[in-house]
Amino acid sequence: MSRSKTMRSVQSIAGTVLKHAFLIVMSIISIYPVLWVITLALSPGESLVTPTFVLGFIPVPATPTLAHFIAIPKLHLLAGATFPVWAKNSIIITTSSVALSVALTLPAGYAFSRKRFRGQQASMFSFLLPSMFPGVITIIPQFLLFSTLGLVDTYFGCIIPYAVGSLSLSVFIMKGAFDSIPRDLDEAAALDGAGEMRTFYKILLPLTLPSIATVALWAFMGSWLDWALANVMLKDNTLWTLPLALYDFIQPNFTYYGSFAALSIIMAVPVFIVFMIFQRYLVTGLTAGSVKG
Amino acid sequence: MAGVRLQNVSKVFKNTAAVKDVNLDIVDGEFLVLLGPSGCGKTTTLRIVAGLEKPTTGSVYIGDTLVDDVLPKDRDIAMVFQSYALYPHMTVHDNLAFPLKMRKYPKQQIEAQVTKTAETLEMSNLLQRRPKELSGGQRQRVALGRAIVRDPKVFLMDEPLSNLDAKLRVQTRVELKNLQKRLGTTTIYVTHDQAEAMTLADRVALMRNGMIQQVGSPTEVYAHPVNKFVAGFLGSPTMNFMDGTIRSSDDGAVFDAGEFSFQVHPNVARVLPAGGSKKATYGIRAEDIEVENGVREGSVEVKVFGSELMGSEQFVHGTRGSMDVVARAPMVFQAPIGSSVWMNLTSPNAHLFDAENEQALA
Repeated sequence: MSRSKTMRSVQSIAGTVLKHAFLIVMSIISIYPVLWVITLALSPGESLVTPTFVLGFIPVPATPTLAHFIAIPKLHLLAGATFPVWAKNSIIITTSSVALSVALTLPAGYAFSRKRFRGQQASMFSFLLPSMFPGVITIIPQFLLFSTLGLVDTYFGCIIPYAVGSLSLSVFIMKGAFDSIPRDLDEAAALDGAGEMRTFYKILLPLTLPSIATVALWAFMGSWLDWALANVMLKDNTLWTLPLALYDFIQPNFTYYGSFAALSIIMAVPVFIVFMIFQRYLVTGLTAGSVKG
Repeated sequence: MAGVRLQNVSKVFKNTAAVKDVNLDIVDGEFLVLLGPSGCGKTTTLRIVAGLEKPTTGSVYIGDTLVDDVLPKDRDIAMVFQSYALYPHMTVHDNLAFPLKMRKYPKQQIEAQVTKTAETLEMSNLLQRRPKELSGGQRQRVALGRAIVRDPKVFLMDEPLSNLDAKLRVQTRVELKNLQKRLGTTTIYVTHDQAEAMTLADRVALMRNGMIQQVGSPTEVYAHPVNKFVAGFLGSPTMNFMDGTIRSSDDGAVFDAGEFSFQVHPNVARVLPAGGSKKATYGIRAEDIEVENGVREGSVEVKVFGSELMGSEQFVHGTRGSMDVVARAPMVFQAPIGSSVWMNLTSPNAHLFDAENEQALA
């Protein structure tokens, strides 16, 4: 083997080792806090316990117990509000806002892709504009507007902002998805006897499913995990969503670490399941339209 | 079944006129090919017939019905797209059944017609596959199947063979022609490929810059082009053109190309009165030129700069002064580069075009 060839193979091995080392370190940084949360959730009591460390750094509960998980459904911190109520609120608000978001995104994306109309550029920009500002700055004006409309302390007070808030990105994802479908297909369907609505439902929708999944997932994440807006809109604790209940474990003089950790894990389960189901669509959905063919 | 009539059809996109005052009468059962270079307006014309574009002015009739305000789906036409436009999420069966379902055919009839179409196009074994699992040729077949499955009045085809490789294209061309004759459905076919046009068409309509230049049978447009564009567009290699002056006298006509001159065949020269003289372009196809190695009375000496062997024959490319000329010769003809050959340009099949407006002199 020549010297330069040896050099090259040494370099490539070193490169692979470095790459993997970097990925391992990054994975540990990401997973480590999660391990702590799991350890806390499985440890007895509500205080920060000292776990056992495997290999000197991996935390595992010293005396594992499912007590926190068993207690959560019966949780009753404040009068009238229990875990099932909060879970129901979260599910209603999230599914409604996902449904509303998809229902608004599809026609908007379709129109931007397939139609030509006056003010098209301006209206596309108006969708993009809100995403240039952090979402929290709109919370106060939204609260003022919604209290005038009598929507504070109602599901709609959260459903509408969640759905609308996800639009700026979603509309562009859907526009890209529709753009990637050749117009020949619309025209072929038109000649085959399909009207515009049927072409939309029978041809375009099935072909944009990955992007629709992405849009739905985006809306789901936005509402399931949100605390800031819910905290402003929902005062009545029987209307609380899970993130608000979770936050209630942090009291001024005591934090219920064990219950906090257990509820965090329960809240993460749907996110995990949804991601597992949709992950193969996610990349396709986000890149749809960027590459032809 | 029905004929198609285009009456003074024009289409303007913003400031560009894509189709200008097109008049066409396509008779029932005819195979008409719209031929022309890219951007000549042939696809726009086809899309106007389909109803996918609205003409700026003029009218379209299918049969005796004025269809200007009839939606594409109600025109009872089927179109084969260049891209095939198959529905990627549907099986071949569902692609074929789609136009029937949209027209609310009974289920049994749908099955019967899909089966029949699949048998006609020999693709019964492909019915459960999706388009991405098919080869280019098979996709093309499915696209054709989707057009014929509901027996429409008119087929519209937009360069349907252009994505196939050369061998498959020739094979499909023959099959397509047979199929159309068997079905007897009026067909408008768009292509830029003159070989396709010549082999498929009952009549060819040659287009340029949005205007129809000539409509006629393939033989007619090939043998009697109405202008220099048509003459140059049809035939491979392209017709040889020489600019000069034709002078007619009692002894016959002579074409003077400046650096050389030659006798013009009386058949060609009859367009000019005896004693007349006119600036003109002389057009002659490679197969109408006789080429020899030795000097011959009335022939023009040409320096060979290349030859293309085509199999049983070859095309000899030569130059004389500023003029290039290509002639057909037998395979065995010896024409080494740099040698001289003698070409006889006097042919009864040559053409004369007006130097000003490029129209054929007749």
